[in-house]
Amino acid sequence: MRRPDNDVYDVAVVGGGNAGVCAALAARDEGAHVLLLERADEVWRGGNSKYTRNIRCASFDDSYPVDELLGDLADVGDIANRSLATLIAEESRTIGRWMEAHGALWQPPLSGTLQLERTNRFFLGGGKALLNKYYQTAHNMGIQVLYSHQVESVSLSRPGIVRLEVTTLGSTKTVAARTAIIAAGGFESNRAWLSKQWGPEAVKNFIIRGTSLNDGKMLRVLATLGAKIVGNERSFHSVAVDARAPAYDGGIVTRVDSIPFGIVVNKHGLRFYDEGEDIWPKRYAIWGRLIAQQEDQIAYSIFDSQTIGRFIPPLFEPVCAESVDQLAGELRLDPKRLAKTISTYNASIVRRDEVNGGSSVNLIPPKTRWATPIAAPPFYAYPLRPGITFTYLGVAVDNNMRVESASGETFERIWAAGEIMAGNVLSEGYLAGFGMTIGTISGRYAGRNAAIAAQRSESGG
Amino acid sequence: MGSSGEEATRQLSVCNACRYCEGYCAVFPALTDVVALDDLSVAYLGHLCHDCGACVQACMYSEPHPFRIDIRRLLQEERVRTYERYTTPEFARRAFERPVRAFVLTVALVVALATVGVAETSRWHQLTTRLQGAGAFYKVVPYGVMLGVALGISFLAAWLVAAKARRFWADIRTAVREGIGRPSGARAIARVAWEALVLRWQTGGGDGCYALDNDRPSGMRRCLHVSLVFGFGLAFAATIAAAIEQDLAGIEPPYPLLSVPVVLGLIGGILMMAGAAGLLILRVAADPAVSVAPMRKLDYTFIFSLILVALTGILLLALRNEPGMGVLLLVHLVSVGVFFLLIPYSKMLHSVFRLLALCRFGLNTPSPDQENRRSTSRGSDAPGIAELGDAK
Repeated sequence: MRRPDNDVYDVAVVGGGNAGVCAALAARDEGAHVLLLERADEVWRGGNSKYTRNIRCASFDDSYPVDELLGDLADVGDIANRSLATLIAEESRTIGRWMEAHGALWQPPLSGTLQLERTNRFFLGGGKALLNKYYQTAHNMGIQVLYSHQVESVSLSRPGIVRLEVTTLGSTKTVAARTAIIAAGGFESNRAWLSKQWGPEAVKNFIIRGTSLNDGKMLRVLATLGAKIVGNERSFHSVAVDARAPAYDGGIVTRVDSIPFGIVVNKHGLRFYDEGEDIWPKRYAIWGRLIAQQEDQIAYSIFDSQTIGRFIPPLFEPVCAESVDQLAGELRLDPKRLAKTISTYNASIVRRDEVNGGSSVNLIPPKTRWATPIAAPPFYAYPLRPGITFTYLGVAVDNNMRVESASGETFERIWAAGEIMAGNVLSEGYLAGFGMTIGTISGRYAGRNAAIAAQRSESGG
Repeated sequence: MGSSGEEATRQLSVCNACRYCEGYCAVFPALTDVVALDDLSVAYLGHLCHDCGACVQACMYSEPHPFRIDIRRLLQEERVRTYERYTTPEFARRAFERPVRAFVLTVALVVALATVGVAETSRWHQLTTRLQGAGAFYKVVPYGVMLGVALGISFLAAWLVAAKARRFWADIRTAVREGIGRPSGARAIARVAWEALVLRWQTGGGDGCYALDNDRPSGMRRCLHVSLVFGFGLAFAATIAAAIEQDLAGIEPPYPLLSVPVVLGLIGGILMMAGAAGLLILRVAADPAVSVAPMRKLDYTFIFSLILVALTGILLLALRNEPGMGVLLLVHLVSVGVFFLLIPYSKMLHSVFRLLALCRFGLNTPSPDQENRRSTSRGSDAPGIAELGDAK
C-alpha cells in the first residue's frame, strides 16, 4: 500500500544508481517503507552504473581469495580506510547470490576481457540491463520510486526526522523520512567545480564518460551539514578517450586501445611518456591524467598499417594519411617536428623477444615494450582527450556506512553508499569492477542498517 | 554502400566497440567474426537476429542518447532488404514493397484460373451438391489436375527459394572470417537444427522476448512461434500421410475422422491457427517502436495467408458432408496455392535465410554458452593483447 508523499518514510534513498537501488532493496528486505529519489528521468536513470559491465568478487575458495583482492587493491594505490576495504573485500564473496536474489543475470566474460574471468562477474547485457532488473524487483517489492526528483537540501532540525527539500519539474516539496541514504555519486560532471583545481580552459577539454548529472550537489549538502570529507579534490579516475567523443555519456565505446602499439605525441608533436610501460590495467589509470597535463589537453596516438587489427576497434575511424607529412597536416601538427619524432623513435628500436617485441635505446622518454617502427603507410592517428570516469572526493563513513562528521562523531540518521563514499577505499587508480563492488556492498549495509535504525526509532518514539 | 548501409555500419560500429550484449544471442558474438561491416555481413547478422529486443532494453546508447542505437529495428530493415535482394524476376521485388497488393493480385490470379478451370470443365453443379464417400474431392477437382498443379507450384517455389538461398549462402561465406575453435560440422548442424526448432536465440538470455514493448519480456512469442512451426509441420505430415494412404494403400479421400491424415491435419491446423492468430495479435498490440513498417506489412500478409490456409482446411473438414463442400474445397485449394506461390516473395523466406545464417554461425563460431573462452586477438601476434579492453 502506498502512503502519500507527505507521510514519513522509514528510509529515503537519494540517487538511483547501483548503490542507491541496492540500498533501497536491502532496506525493503528488512520491511522498511522505502522511497527512492532519482534525479534523472526514467530513461536516463541509473547514473554511471548503466555504463558498467561487471563486478569484482572474491571467492570463498582459493580461486580469488579476499587477501588477493586486497593485494590487487593495494597495487593500484593507497587504501585510505583499511578496515572498510577489508570489510568490502570479505563481503564481496556473498554479493553474487544477493544480486541473483534481486534479479541479476550473468553472462560469461565478454570478448577482450579474459584477464577478468577469475576475478569479475559480468552482468548479462551490462549495467543498464542489471539496473532494469533491479528496478523491476524494486517495483514488485513495493518500493516507491520518484524520477526527475532532485534533492536540494537536507535538514536535521526536527528530532528523529530527516527532511529533504526536493524539486521536481519546477515545483518544490518536502520529503520526511526517519533515515536517509545518500548515494548520489561524485562531482565529475560539474565543470565549474573541476575548474577550481584544473582551470576553466582545461576543463573545457575534459570528456565526462558517464552521466551529465553527477554535479556533486549532495556532496556539498553533506559538507554543509558538517560531514567529514575524504579524498583529494584534484583527483579523478580518467582514461584516454577519442577526442570526438560526446561531452557526456560516451561510456565504454569511446576508449582508445591503440596506445601501446605506437607512439603518443602532444600538440607540439613530441612524445611525453613511455607508451609501452604497461598494457593493463595501469595504463587506463595513467593516460587520462597524462593527457590532462598536456597543453590544451590533447594528444594523438599514432601508428601505422602494421598495427591495424591488433586492438579492439574503437567507435571512431582513425585519421588516415599516406605520409607522415600528410598526417601532420590532418592533425594540424608541425610536420617537421612530427617527422623528427617518428624518425628518432624508429631509429632507436631494438628487437627484444616474442612477448615484449621491440624496445627503444637511448630514447627519452623510452618505449620499453611493443616498439615497432612507424614506417608502413598508410599512417593512422586517434586524437585523444582525458575521459573522466569518476572523482575520488567523498564523505567519510564508518563500517556501517554511517556518515561521519568533521567533529569526529557519526550522523545518527544519514548513511552514504557508492561513489560518494568510495574515496574511503580508493584514493587513486582503479580496479576493474570494484566500483560496483563498493556500491553494492555499501548500499546493502546502508539499506539494512538504516531500515533497522528507522524501525527502532519508530517503535521507540 | 547506400545510406541504409552507412547507418548499419554506424550502429554496428558502436556494438563492435561495446559488446555488452554478447550473452543475449548469436548476433553479437558473430560480430567479432565478420571481415568488415558491409552489406553482406550485415545481411548475415540480420538473419541471426530473432527480434527478441533484449539488446534494446540493455542498450545505454538507445534514444534519446545521441548515438541512437536500435539494433532490433536496424536488423529488421536489413532482413526485408535481404529478402528483396536476391529476388527473380526483377519486377517481383515489388512484392516486398507492397506485400498486401502482391497478395491480393495473386489471389485474384489464382481465383481467375480456378474459375476458368471450373467453367471449362463444366463443374459448376459439383460445387453446390452434396458429395460424399471415397473420391468425393476428385469430383470437384480431378486428381490429375490437383496433383499436377500442386507439384508444379511446389517445384516452382522450391526452385526460386533455392536460387535465393544459394546466393545468400555464397555471400555470407565471404562475409565471415574463418572461425576460431571451429566445431565439427555434423555436431554444429545438429546443434543449429535444435536451436532453430526451439528458437534458442529468442529467449533474450533467459527473460524472453520483448514482443510488446521494450519493458516487459515474456516467453509468449516464442511459444506461439513454436506452435505455428509444429502445426505447419504436422499439416505437412498430414499431406504425406494422405499420399501414402491413397497411393500405397489405395484408399481415396476424404478420410474418416480417426485416420492418420485427418488427426495430424486437425491438430496441425489448430496449432497453426493458434500460433498465427497469437502472433498476429501480438503484432497488432505491440508498440510500433519495436518494429519497422515494411516488416509489419510482410508479417500481416504472411500470417493472414497462413490463417486462411488453416481455417479453410478446418472448415472443409467440419463441413465436408454438407452441400457446398465443393466451394469450400476450392477456396481451401486456392488459399494453399496462393501461399505456396508466394513463398519466394513472403516472410516465409525468413525460415530459410535464418537457418542458413545459423548454420554459418554454428560452423564458424562457438556457441556463446558452450565456448566462452576464446580471445579476441583477431589475428594478433603479440601476447597480452587479449588483455586489452577493460576500462571501468
